Amino acid sequence: MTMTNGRPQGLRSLGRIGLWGAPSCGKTTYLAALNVAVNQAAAQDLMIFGVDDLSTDFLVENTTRLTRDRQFPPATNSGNQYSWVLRMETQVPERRRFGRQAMTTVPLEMNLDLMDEPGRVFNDIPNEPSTGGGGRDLGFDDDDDADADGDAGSVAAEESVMDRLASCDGLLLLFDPTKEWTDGDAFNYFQGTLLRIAQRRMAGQATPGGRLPHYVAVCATKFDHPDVYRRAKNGGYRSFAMDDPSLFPRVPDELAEKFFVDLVRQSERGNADLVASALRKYFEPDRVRFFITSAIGFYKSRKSARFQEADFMNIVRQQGRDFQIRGAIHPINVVEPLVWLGQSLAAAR
Amino acid sequence: MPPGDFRPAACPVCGLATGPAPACVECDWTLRTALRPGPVTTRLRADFETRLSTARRRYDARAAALVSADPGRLARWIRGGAPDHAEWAAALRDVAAATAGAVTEETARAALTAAMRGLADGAGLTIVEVGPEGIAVIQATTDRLGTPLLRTGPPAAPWTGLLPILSAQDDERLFQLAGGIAGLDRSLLAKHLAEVLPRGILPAGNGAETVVTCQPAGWRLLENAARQVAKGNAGATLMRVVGLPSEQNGLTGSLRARMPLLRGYAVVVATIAPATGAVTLGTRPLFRPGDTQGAESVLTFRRAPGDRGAATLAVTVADQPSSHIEADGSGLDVVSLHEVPLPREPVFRVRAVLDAPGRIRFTEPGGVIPLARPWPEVVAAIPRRVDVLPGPVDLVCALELAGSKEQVDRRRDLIGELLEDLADEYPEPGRLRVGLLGCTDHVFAPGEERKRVVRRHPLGDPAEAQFALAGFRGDSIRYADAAPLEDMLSLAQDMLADSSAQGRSARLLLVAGRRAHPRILGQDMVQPCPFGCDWSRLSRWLAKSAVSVVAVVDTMPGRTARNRFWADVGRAGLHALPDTSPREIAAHLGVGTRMGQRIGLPLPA
Repeated sequence: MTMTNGRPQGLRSLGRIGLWGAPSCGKTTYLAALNVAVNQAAAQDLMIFGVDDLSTDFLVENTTRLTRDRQFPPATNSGNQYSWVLRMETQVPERRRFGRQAMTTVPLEMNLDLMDEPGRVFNDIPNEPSTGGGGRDLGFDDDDDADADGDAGSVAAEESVMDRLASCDGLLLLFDPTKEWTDGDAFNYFQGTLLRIAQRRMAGQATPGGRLPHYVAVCATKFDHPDVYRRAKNGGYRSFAMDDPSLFPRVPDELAEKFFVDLVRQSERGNADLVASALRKYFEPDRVRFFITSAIGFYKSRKSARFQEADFMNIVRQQGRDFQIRGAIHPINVVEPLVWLGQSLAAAR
Repeated sequence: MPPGDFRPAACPVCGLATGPAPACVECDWTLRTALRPGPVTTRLRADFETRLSTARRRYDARAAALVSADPGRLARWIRGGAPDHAEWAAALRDVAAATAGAVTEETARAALTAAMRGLADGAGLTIVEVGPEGIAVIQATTDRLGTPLLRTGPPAAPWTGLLPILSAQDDERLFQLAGGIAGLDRSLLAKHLAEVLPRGILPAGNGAETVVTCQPAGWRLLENAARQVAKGNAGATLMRVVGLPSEQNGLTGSLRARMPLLRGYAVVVATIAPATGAVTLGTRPLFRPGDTQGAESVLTFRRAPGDRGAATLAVTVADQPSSHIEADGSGLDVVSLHEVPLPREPVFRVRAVLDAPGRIRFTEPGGVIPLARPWPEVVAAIPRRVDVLPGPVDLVCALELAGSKEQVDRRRDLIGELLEDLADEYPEPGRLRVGLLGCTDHVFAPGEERKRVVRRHPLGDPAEAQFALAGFRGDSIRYADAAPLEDMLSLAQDMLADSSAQGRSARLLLVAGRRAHPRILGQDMVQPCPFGCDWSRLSRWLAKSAVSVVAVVDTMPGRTARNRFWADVGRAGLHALPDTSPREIAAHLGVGTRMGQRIGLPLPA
C-alpha cells in the first residue's frame, strides 16, 4: 500500500459492480437517485463522478430530470455502458509492526458499471418479450422496455451483458416487489441471469463445491409504494432512525431479508420465494445482503418537520394518467448497498 | 142631468165624469157658477176659451213632463199647443209634487235587498212591478250564495192588453199612462182598472210577502193601478220609485245585476302551518255585503312554493267562519271558480270587479279564465301536508370549478337556476341567505400544495350570490383522482356553524364531478388533502348539526364509490347532474316543495 499525504493511497479499481434487475424494477431511477443520495449522505467524503462524458451526462441529465423536472427517467431504449467512480472512506485493517493489526481509514474508490440494457436482456429465455411492469400503471416505473422489437435483445448483446456481469466483483440486484405481485416474473429474470453468470464463473472451476465469488446487494425497491410501506408497517418491519430529523421510515438491514421473503410470498403468481434460496445456494451467504430501498423516498411537505404517516406518497397522478414526482426526493438505502459492497470488497482485498 | 143644469157630462179639462160638485174633483176646473145677468158676449166667450185652453194645456203638460223633461217630445198631444216657459216650469213643479214621497231606484233596490235578506230560508218575495210597459209579477228568492233568483210569473201583462183603450202608439200611450187621459173614456178606463187588474194579475194565495212597485211614480194610471193592486193584497207594500226604470219595466230589470250583495265574497286561500306543514283552507275577503255592481277589489297573494303555471281562484261567500271550512273544502259555498296564470314573481295581485251578484270578473292579472273543473276536484288535488322549513334558511352552494368548460357550466347553471327559483320563493330579506364555494384542484407540486383553492362568497342575499356565481370561473383539472371537496365541506362547516344558534336552518348543496381527497393515503392511493381536511368527519358533523346535504355528481358513480363518499355526504339526496333539476334539488334540500307537490291555490300574502 502506498501512502499519500501520510494516508494510505486510495484503492482504485477495487472492483466493479454490475447492476442487475428485471424490466421496470427501477434500475435507471436508482442510478439517477444515486447522485442525490450521495449528496445527502452524512459521510462528507462520499462522492460520485463519471469516468467519461457519457456517464457524466447520464448522471446530470437524470438527476436534473428527477429533481428539477420531477419526472422519472425515460425508458432504456438501447444498451449503453456507463461507469462511475464512487469515492468514499472506509476502514481497513492495517498491519503494524510486531505483527499487530489496526484499523485505519483509507479512501476507497470503486467502479460502478451500469450495463443499461433493457431489462429484457435479463430474461431467462433470451429474446422472449418481457411483460409490462405491473407497477407501471401506478407510476412507480422508470426504465421501460420500449424497444421490445429492437435489436437490444439480440444474442450478442445478451452475451456481452452476461460476460460483464459475470466479471463483476459485486452485483446490485434490484427487485421490484410490486411488479412481482402483478406479473410474477421476477424469478424468471433472476434465474436465467444467475445460471449464465454461474456458467461463466463456475464452469471449469478447479475446486468443486465452491460458490460464486460475487458480493450481492439485493435491493427490494419501491419502499415508498403505499402497498410496500404498509406491509412493512403492518409486519413490524418498519422503524425510524433516531438520527434522521425527518424520521423517514426504514427497514433495518437485519430485518431486510425477512421482509424481502415476506414481500415475495405475497405474490400468488410467481416463484420469487425461490430467489432468496437461490442466492444462498449460488453465493456465499455472508456475501449476500438485503436492503429495502426507495429511489425517490417518501413525501415530506416543506412545512412539516418530519414524515407524515397520513400523506407520504411522493408521486402524483396528473391529468392524462402520467405520474410526476410530487416533492423533493429523499432516497432511502440507495447509497448504502454500494457502500456495503465497497467496504466488503475492500475488506476482502 | 136635471133641466137647467148646464154642467158638461165630463170635465172639459181632464175628461172625468162630472158630479154634483161645482168643480172637477180631479182638476178643479169650475164646472158650474151662479147665473149672471146679461148676454154672453164675445169677450166673455173668448175669456172662457182662453181659461179652458190654459187649464187643458196645464193638465196635459203635467203628463208630458212626467214622461220627458223635453217639452217638445209630447207636445202634439198637449191640447192648446205647446206650453210656454212659465207653463212648462209649472208643469215640472207639478211633477215634483206628484212624485213627492217616492224613492230613487237605488233606494228602492236597497229596500228590496233588505226585504230579501230578511226572508226566512226558502221563503220568497212577490214583487208586483207596475211600470211603463205593463204589470209584471216576479217571484224573488235568493240561492244559498245570496244571489237573487227572479222568476216572472205569470207572464208580464202589457198595458195594451190590460187597457185596450190606451193608444197603440208608444209615446201617446206613455202620455196617457202619465195622465194625459182627458181624451179617453174615463169611466171605461176606471172600470178596466177596477175589474181587470185584480183578475189574473196576481197568483192567488202564494202567501209570500208582496211589494208593489210603481215606477215611474206620479204617472196617474200607474199610480192608480199600483194602488189597486196593493189594495187587493193585504199586507202588500207599495213602493213608488222616481223616474223611468233604468232597465225594462221596473226595478227587477236591474235587480239581478244591481242588487247589493246579500253576502260578502271571499277568495279561498291555502295556509301552511309553519311547524307541521299542514295545509288548511282559509279565505280572504273580496267583496263586502252591500257592495254593488262595479265594485272593485284588489287582493295580494303569494304563489305557493312549487306552484307553476296556474292556480285556482275560488270565490266563495265570505261569512263562513274559518272553523267551518273543512280540509276537503266541503264547508265552502263556492260562487265561481277561475284559473289564474301564475306570474313568475312569488307575490302577485289580483283585481276583481263585481259584475253582478254571482258574477265576478278578474281584470288583473291578465288571462284569468273560468275554470272548468268542479270544486271537489280542485280540493281533492290539494295536498294535506307539504314540506316546510321551520324558519329562515342558510344555504351554501359548493361547486367544483375544475373540468371542461361545458361541465363546469352545467354545474354552475344548475346552481344559478336554483338560486333564481329561490330568489322568487324567498322575497323577504334575510329569510334565505345563500353562500357560495367554488374549488379548483389541489396542485401537488412543491410550493403549490398549501395554496387555497376554494373561492368563497359569504352568506347573504340570494340575488347577490347569483351575481357572484357568474364570477366563479372554471379551471382545468390538475389532479384527476379527486377534487378538494373536503376543503369546501370544511368551509361550509364554518359558514353554517352559527346558523342553528341564530334560529336558521342550514343546507348544503354540493355539485361536483369527483370525490373528495381522503384525510390519509388509502389503498386507492388518492392523494390526501394537503390541509388534512377529513370529509368523513365533516360529513358526520354536518349530519349531527342537522345540516341537510344534497350532492349532485356529474356522473353517478358505481355502488362502491357511492357508498364511500357520495352517499355518505349526500344524505339528503344524491343525484346525477344530467338527470336532476333545480326544483328537485330544492325539494330535497327542503327549501322548495317536493317534486309533484302542488297546492294549486294562492297563499295569503
